[in-house]
Amino acid sequence: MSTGARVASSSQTVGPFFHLGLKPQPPRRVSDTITLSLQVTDGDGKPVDDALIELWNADSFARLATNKDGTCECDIARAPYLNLCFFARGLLRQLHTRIYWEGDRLLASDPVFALAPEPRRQTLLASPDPHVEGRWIFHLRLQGPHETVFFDI
Amino acid sequence: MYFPEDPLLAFDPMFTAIRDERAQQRLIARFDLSLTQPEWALGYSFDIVVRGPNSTPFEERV
Repeated sequence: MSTGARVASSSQTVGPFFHLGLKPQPPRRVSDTITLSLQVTDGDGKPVDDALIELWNADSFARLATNKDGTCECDIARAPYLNLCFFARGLLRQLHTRIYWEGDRLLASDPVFALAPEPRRQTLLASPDPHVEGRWIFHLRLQGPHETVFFDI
Repeated sequence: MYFPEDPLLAFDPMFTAIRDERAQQRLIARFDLSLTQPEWALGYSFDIVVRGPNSTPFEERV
């Protein structure tokens, strides 16, 4: 086996059959759990129904696929922010962003939140569901007006 | 992962989206006679190379 420098395997788009490998999400019942609902739309405002989203913070991880209406939901521990990785047909590399919480006092001191350009910063905020206590809604827009801020890593 | 000499390679948009030929080669499995099982299966080997300090640089931003 050669020990010289090698070309790395290329990043590729998520395939159409990824649902086969997804495990169902067990519900989490600890006091700091919130229900997070995500809605994904494309540049025309249409729902993206075949996206894969990974969410994680210090001690929880969720891997979700969007439904026919472009939404997905999970119970996850509330933390100052959630890291989000977004995979979909057509994206050769995943997109990175974060979910922060509307009205959170910690926003003012978060250095990564401050990296997002001012008028677009609010695209990183999940808002509380006015009808359901403990449920938050985050809208991820891939293109167009109110496009979500994605980070270059 | 792709197979060598597959006639559809030139028409596969995922494969042709990779511009560097060495990176394309990385995605093609290698036929290996020693891995075959007679009258049952052909054998191929496929390496996945994770990026590291020693990796050969290539253009990956499409």
